[in-house]
Amino acid sequence: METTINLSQVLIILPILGAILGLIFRHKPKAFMLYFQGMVATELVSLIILSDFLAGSVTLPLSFIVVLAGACITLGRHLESTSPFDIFETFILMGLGLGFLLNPNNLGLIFLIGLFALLIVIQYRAKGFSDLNTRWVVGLYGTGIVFLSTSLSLSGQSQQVVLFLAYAMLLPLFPLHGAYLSLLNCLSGVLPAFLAVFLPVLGLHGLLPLLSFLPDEIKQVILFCAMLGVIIASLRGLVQIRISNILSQTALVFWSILWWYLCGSDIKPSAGIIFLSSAGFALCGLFLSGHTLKSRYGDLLVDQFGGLGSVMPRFSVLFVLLIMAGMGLPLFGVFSGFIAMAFSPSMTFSWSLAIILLAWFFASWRLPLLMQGTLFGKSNPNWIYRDLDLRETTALSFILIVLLILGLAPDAFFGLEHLDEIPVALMKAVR
Amino acid sequence: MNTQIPILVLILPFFAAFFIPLLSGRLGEKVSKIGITAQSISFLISILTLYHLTRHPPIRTSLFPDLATANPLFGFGLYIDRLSAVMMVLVTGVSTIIHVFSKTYLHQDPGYARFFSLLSLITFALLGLVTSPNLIIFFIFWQLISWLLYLLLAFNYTHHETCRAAFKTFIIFRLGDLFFLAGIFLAYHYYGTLDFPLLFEKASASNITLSLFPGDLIEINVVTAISLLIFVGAMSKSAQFPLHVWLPDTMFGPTPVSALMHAGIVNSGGFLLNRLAPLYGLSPVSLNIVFIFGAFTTVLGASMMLVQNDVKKMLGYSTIAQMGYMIMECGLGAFALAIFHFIAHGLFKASFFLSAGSVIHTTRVEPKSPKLPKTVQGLSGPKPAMVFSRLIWFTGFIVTLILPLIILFSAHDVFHIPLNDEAHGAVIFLFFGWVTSSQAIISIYRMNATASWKVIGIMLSALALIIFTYLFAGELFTVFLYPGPGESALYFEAAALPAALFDSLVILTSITIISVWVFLYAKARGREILMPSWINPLKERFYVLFVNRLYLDLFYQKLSRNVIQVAHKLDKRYLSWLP
Repeated sequence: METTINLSQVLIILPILGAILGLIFRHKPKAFMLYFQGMVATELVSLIILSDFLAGSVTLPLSFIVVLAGACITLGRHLESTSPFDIFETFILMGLGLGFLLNPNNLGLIFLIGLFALLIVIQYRAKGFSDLNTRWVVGLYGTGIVFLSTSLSLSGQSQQVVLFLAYAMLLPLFPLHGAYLSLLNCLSGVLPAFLAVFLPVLGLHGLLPLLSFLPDEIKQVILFCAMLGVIIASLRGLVQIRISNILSQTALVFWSILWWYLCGSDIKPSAGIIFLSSAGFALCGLFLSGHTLKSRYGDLLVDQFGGLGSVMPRFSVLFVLLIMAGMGLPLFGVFSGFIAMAFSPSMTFSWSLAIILLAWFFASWRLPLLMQGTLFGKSNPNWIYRDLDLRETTALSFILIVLLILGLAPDAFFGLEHLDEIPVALMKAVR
Repeated sequence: MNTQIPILVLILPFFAAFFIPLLSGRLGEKVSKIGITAQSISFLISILTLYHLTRHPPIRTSLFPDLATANPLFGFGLYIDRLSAVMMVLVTGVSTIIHVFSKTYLHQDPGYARFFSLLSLITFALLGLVTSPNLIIFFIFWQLISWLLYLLLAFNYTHHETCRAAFKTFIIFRLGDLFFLAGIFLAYHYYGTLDFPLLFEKASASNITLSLFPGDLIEINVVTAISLLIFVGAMSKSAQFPLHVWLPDTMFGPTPVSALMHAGIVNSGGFLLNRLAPLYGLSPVSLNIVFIFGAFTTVLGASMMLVQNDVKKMLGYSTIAQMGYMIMECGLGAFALAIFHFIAHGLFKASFFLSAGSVIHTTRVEPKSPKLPKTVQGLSGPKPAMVFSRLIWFTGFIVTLILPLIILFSAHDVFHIPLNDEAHGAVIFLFFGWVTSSQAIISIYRMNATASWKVIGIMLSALALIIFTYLFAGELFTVFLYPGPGESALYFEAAALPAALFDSLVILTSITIISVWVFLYAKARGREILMPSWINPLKERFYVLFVNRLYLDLFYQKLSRNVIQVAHKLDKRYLSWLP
């Protein structure tokens, strides 16, 4: 165990150190991007090498999701991104996140405090304090820092309560979702694509050991909050006019559905992880597509794009497939993950399932409209259109392949088939 | 025959869908040949498979056994029985014809390769659907069909109305999917399996009731709940009232897509009911509800068809009526008859749609086309006397009314129809044969109201042909599809309507048919039919109602607008402080 922990620190140091050294190339966009691609490849290889040490715990699949998401957004980042430091910030965040995932002690919580603090700084730099979104981030993540710091000196039930609240900000639970959604709505560059999947991964990792200690009454309250989140986000998603806003509401629906599952009794971590990774990658791909459009044509409303189907065929095909994945159509992972959760033995036919099914229906309303708004219609003859380049195509294709694998062979991915053999209560020992 | 060979039927269209866009740059419009070849070979193998199944038991193949072990829900594989094999032949046959037709139809279209790729992919999805071994795989292909049809309907995506109609289709399909998934969920929750034979076995072995409200106020049998939820899914795909509104709007889509849709996709609801026939056979309530919805859709579809002035829309409403007919047959337990019906309907409707394109085209380029019949040509001049033949009228009248007597006597065991032991089934078949032949004979009369033995001959032949088809071919087909001893009789028994209701139905239909004959008689003799004064305003009201599609489209529009308004209020007024 000791060796594993020591070796795994490489995975934390590598992205943080790599990000800092990468600043040397900040004035040479091509070299800057190449450097970070090399870095993420190194990180991925390191994780594969160390995977044997981490096998059998939830840490491995969750670390894989984080690094793979990092790899996808590094590949898919437009050369002239709207935010020059987004990739640098992504790597620092990745390092801190892995620090939390790989350290089953207070050190992990210290990494998490650092991550919250960095997110506040990033949001403040992007929008300033006058923006309502920044206040949400500062308010919630500031409280998160206080909770996490307090938890270092607490033990027992009180520690569990404060930790739970902090984690519920990462895996957004209504009404603690504000900071997460603000980050997705406001940040530019590839950061929203990364954060969409990254923060919930950290949240789930923290929550899994706590769930078995939650009393049923509290679970009912959480379920109520999650269902409220599903309803509000499903409805609000219908009237959003910016790609990022539509996707952020979709994200809240996804994570509320995951909360619904986590509130059940006798849950299987593998089903939750399949859904988390699938929904996360679908969001990552959709946000990355949004970044592609934003970096080419600016921050436009959905209807202002129009007609991309005929002028950006490569983008259109991949975007259609991502929309398919995002609204839970087979053969992609979101569908398999949802089915795996909904068909678990503990699930019964209840009002909450009816709401979840309605949310599923609203996703089929919201996302095809987003697709129609961007791809269908006539293109603007005054615009200069440019389809995806090879790197961007590879990134989106890679995400789709991951989603397809998760859809067709959900349990075989990440070695999840062995994960359910570990009862959730015993996972406490892993932390 | 090697039982692995039928996999090729699915694989070929699937690979064609991938190779068409990949090779389109190099081959140009020749890529269509990839699709045509793949469909043709699939068609031949389907015929071989059907032949094989006439002598052998159903084929069951697992495609990825390891995956199925890891997660039993995702048991990818094929289950091909006679029902699947018949459907495979129909799907691949129609698809081949449509591929060949599209080759010329889409000449020089910029989306040529995309169209052929999607066409091959939807053929694959349809084939996957009919060969699904369990309900979840069925549902996977079911959803894929919804999405692929949406993309095909929105083929001309620069046209706003096309996109709107495609979206409407998709959203209604998803509404059906919602209930379908709920049904699957219930089935899995109570029986622990979604594998067809196992599910039927467990459902028939248990009798579980479900309380809809706390306190056991309203209880429902689980099988009934499952079959009704799944039926809503079937209703959306098979355009049953009130989920039929998508179908008439899809006429902006390319003609081959309309043909495929009317010949194949709308039938998937009927196929679903057939596939789950053993489950429906356990719930008479569900079958009766299915019958009511089918009957209602038939009447409404046919009525709305009469007030259309657009060829393709008329065909669309005719499809709705035919689908209602098919669902009605399922509701009466005549599952095999429904399959027989939709094969026949699929073939003639596909040919209608493929011809409709050229008819419309000819009308556009040729100002004198279509040539009007002589009686209409002389509208500007003095009105010509209507041709009337008492002999023909009398023959038609008598011929169409002999059958209801036979039906009523047979239903009450006064006669025994010596076709097989399933007398009730024969009565159902006779009933449908009678309604169909009456319709045909009235049409023949309207077209040829001249005294001629030829017309009488045609009328009698039509009657004989239809009754023969329904009774003998229908019976044979039932035995072919449901060879299990007493299997089809079980469905007929489960679906049996109360005797009084059945008699009323026959009498009501007889009165309707008599009224039509009386109306034709009076019209031809130039006589006024004495009607109460409220009839004419009522007719006008019905006309307005049917022209406006029962205002259902408006209702849905208003409903969706209200949802959006609520969402707006929530977003801008009450929750504007939330990100």
